[in-house]
Parts: sequence; structure tokens; C-alpha cells
Amino acid sequence: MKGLSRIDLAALTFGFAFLYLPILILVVYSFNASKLVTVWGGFSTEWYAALFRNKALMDAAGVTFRVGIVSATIATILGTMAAVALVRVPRFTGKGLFTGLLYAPIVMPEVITGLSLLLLFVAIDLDRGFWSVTIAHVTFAMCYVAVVVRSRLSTFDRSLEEAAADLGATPLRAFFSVTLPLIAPAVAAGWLLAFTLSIDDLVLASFTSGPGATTLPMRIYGQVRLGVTPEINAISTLMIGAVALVVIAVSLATRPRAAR
Amino acid sequence: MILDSPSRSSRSAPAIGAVRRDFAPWKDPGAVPLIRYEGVRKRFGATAAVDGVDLSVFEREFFCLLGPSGCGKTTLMRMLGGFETPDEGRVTLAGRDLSGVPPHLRPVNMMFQSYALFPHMTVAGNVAFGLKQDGLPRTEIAARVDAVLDTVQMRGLADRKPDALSGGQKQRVALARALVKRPKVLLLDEPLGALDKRLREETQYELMDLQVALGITFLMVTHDQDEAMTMADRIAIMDEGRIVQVGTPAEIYEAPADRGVAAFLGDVTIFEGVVQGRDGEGWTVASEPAGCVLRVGEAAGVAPGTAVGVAIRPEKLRIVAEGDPAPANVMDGEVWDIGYLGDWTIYRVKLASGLIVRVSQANAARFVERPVGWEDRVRIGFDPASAVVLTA
Repeated sequence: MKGLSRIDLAALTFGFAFLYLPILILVVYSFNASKLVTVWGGFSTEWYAALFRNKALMDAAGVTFRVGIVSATIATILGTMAAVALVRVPRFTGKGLFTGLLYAPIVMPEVITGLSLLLLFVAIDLDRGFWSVTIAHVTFAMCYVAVVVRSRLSTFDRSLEEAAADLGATPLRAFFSVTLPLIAPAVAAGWLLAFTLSIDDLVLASFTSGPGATTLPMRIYGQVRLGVTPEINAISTLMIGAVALVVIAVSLATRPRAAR
Repeated sequence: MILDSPSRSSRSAPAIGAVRRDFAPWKDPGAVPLIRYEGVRKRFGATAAVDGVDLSVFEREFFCLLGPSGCGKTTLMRMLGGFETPDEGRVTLAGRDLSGVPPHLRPVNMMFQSYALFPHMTVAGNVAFGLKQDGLPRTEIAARVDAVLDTVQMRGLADRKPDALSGGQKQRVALARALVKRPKVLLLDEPLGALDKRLREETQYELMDLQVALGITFLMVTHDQDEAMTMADRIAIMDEGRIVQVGTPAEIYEAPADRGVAAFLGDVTIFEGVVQGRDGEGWTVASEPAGCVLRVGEAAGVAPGTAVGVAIRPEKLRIVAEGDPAPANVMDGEVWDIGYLGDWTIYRVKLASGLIVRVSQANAARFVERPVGWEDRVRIGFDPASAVVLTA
């Protein structure tokens, strides 16, 4: 590689090794023929086959995907609405406060968010299960959606909406026929981000889940305490693959277009 | 854009400058204005963007709001589109008070400075957008889109996206989109600002022809004086939220209301002085910077002792070599700078008082016998009727 000194190269290698070596080991061992996690016994895909026969893990994966899709969708709608209100409404009392409040859950420790949601669900007597986890995920994912959509909206040429209004479009029609199609990449990126956050989450789910709504991270965490099996390596590898795909999709969706 | 337009030649003898055509509803006391601003004010924070404007624009008029950036001209125009609300006063269109009427219900259309073309729609989609909002039948929409794209010569590119168009093409699409709804008034926000010089000149005349052919009232905002002078029937000069002067281009150029307007529109030299007395039809003004007593024409509101500015445009000054006879108001000086523009030559002549006077001369002949050169002693002068006496 041109322009890289030996020190640069060493730093780069070390840095990436630090980040990705653990993941690499996990991926490699998911193809281990041996039942012992720490001993290499040759290449095999038997653990992937075993994984699909493991009903508990497959159920957990199903819950995780359903929660992910439903919570990401609700979070995207609410987060987009919040972003539009914050960017478009010219000035209202407490706008700064609302902006701050919207972003606070991002920096709030998850343990506290989880605990407070648990207290809320107990107080309002909501059965803990699929919907309690979904609502918990909506609460924190919508902040991320709002951040992504807001940054796109703040560079959005306001005169496009004015032109739509000038040509006879009601505010609602102007939003759906002009604004939404143009911010769609950011909205899609927000959805994908919300989805990834949801399938990753362990802390909030642990607090707010109930019987029959065990998510995949919860299941994996529970099993690892009894010992790491190659099956766990296999499902983790699949999750890494899924998240990587989503991250690539987000970066493609939010890539600035050449002519804007 | 080839359009049939009525003859622009004037028939009646003009009182002042050039007259474009026999169209002057503002001179008719019985004419009812189409647009009326009445005591309009608008503040943004601590600054008054529009500070008490009364203005009337007549049907079929090409009206231009001209002024430096930040003078409130855009705010004033956007009030008609419904994008700004006056704090005080009201705006009426064809007798109807527009207060509280949202933009999408107003019978005016605007051509935005940035063009504001919808990037996710084709040229045809952009133009059809306004008609679709009105729920017109498909076939009528298609026919009207085709017709207006023909008018602006963009029909061949109807399926292109705005990103694939040149600046001039985008400008035409924006114009077509604003015209397709046949608005009562077309608002133009710096319509030619993004075009290069040659294209801008061409487009100016096209827009004028189009305006006459369609019979739509145009309200244009610009900071470019040449653009305003070329295109508008009447111009309102704005400064700091107020209208300083309203008139035809010739009136504003040849009879500016005050020093600010005179200096803003074109080049001018102002000799400060004090009125001495009558001189036949006009007055004499003792001017220290000019170094002599100037003879000027008739002026209203002056008496001996009034402090005035005698404003003279560069093209109305004559320049001759020292010792040659000059017409009147002779001042001696030295050529300080020469700017040769091809069609015109600009001389900057320094008088004994240190005042630098701009003189321009048309280069009517290719060669002259005794060209004026740098540091030549010269003599400049002007006809008494060419000067404007400014009291404000």
C-alpha cells in the first residue's frame, strides 16, 4: 500500500486485530468439528445443522425477529414525526428542551431505562411478554431514528416544500409527495438502525421480557452460563452476518448522492 | 421562445427617456390595481424587514422590486405567495384580502431562486404536479404539460430528471411549472441569478416576450439593476424595508428621488453645492468640488441658499482637450484612469478639488485623430438640462 509507513501499518494491523480477532475466533470455531470449544478438530458445518434442530434457540430467534420488525417500524414512524416537528415547527416554547429530552435516552444507561420501564409495566399492570419488550425497544430506538432523520431534514431544501404548497398541495400532501420520498433513505436507515439495535439488545429485554418472549441474546446469554457450545458460536456467527448486512445497507442508504 | 407579441414601438412622444409601449395604467386615476400592499410591516427579531410599504401593481404589469440584499424585497414578494405573514397592514389581490389564506389556496405561483425542482420527478412530473393537485383529468394534464413545455422549448427533455439538466434548462422547467396553472400573478425570485451572462441576456428578452404574450402580471425580485431596467415596466427601489421610489426605468434613471437612488442605479457623479440664483429657465449652483458655478435646469423645491447635489451621469458629460470649447459648465482636470470597454471608454478625470468624475464616451468611430491619454489635461462639461438637482 502506497503512503503507509511501517509504523502506520503496524498500528493498523494491531488496531484491527484488537477489534476483530475475538470475532474471527468465534467464527472459526463455529466450523469446528470437535465438541470441545477450545480444541480444533477439523472443519465441519455440523453445528449449523444442530442449531436448526434446537427448538429453544430457533424460537428465541423467531421472537427476536418479530420484536425487531414491529419495534423498528413503530420507532421509525414516531422518530420521523419527532424529527419533523423539531426541524419544521419554527419556534415553540421549550423546543430546546424537547430536543434535549429526545436525545437523553441515547446517553441514559440501559440498566436505568430497563429498570424504569419494568417499574412502569408493573405499575400499569401490563403483562410482560412480546409487547413489553417491543415497547421498550421502541422507546430507545426512536431516538436514534429521530437523530438520523433530523440530520437529513436539516439539510433539506425548504423551498421544495414551499414550491409544493405554491403549486396547490396541502401541507399533508406536500409531505407525502415531496418531503417523504426525498428523506426516504434516512427513514430507511433509521428503520435498519432500530432493527439492529433491537436484535442486539440484552439489557432492556432482560428487564421487560416475560415467559414465552425470550429473545435470542437472552437465550444465548443463558446458555453460555452453562458453558459455551459450538452451537452458540454458530448462531452468533449468523447474527454477526445479519448485523453486518444491515450496517452495509444503512451506509449505502445514507451515502450522499453525487448530485443533490 | 418565439411568440407573437404586440409591437413595442412607441408612438406618443415621450416626456422622459425611452418608452417601451403604450401601457401605463398607473397614470390612469380610474384604474384598479390588481395587487395592493397597504401599510405592510414585518419584523424579524429586532430588524424591520418591511417597514411600512404601500404599493399598487396593475394587471399585466411587469413589476420589479429592486434593492440591495437584505432590503426586504424578497419578504415583500413572499407575502403575496403566502410564505410570510405581515405583522401589520394587509395584502390584497383583485380586491380580496389575502390575510389567513394559506399558500396552496392562493391564485399566484412562484418561480423560486433555487428553482426548487422536485429531484425525484421527471421534467413532465414536475410540471404536472400543480395540475394534479387540482384533480384535473389525466388527458387535460398531459395536454397542458405538453403545451407549456413547448412554450419553453423543453418538450424533448420531458422524461429527464432535474439532475440531468443544465442551469438554463432547469430555469425553463421552473418557469413552465409556475406558468402551467395560469396564475393571476407570477412571482419571480431572482429568476436569472443562476445563469451565466450571455444566457441571462437572452432569457431576459424571452421572459419579456412571454409576459406580453401570456398577459400575466409578473412581480420580480432582483438585485441586478440592469435586469430590472431591461425587463420591468415599473421598478420599486427598496432600501431598509422601505420603498424609496417607484417609477418606470427611465424615470428612475433620469429623475432619481434622492442621492441614494441616483448612486444605486447606474453611475453618477454628484457635485455638492449651494443654489445661488435664477439663470433664465434654471438655476445657478456654486459648487466647491466642481470649482465653478454650475448652470442647471429647472428644479422643484429649491431657492437661493438651498444645499443641493448636482447629479450627472457619465454618458452626459463631454470630454475635450484643454483649450477646446466645451458646451457649458466647464471644469478642467487631468485624466486619472482610462477603462476601454470596446463599445464605451470610461475616463476618470481628477478635478483641481480632488474630486474624481466619471465620464463615458461611446466609441462611435474606430479611430480618432487626437486620442485622450493618461495624465492629459482635459476639459469636461455638460448641458444644463442633463443634470439632476437633488435635495434629498
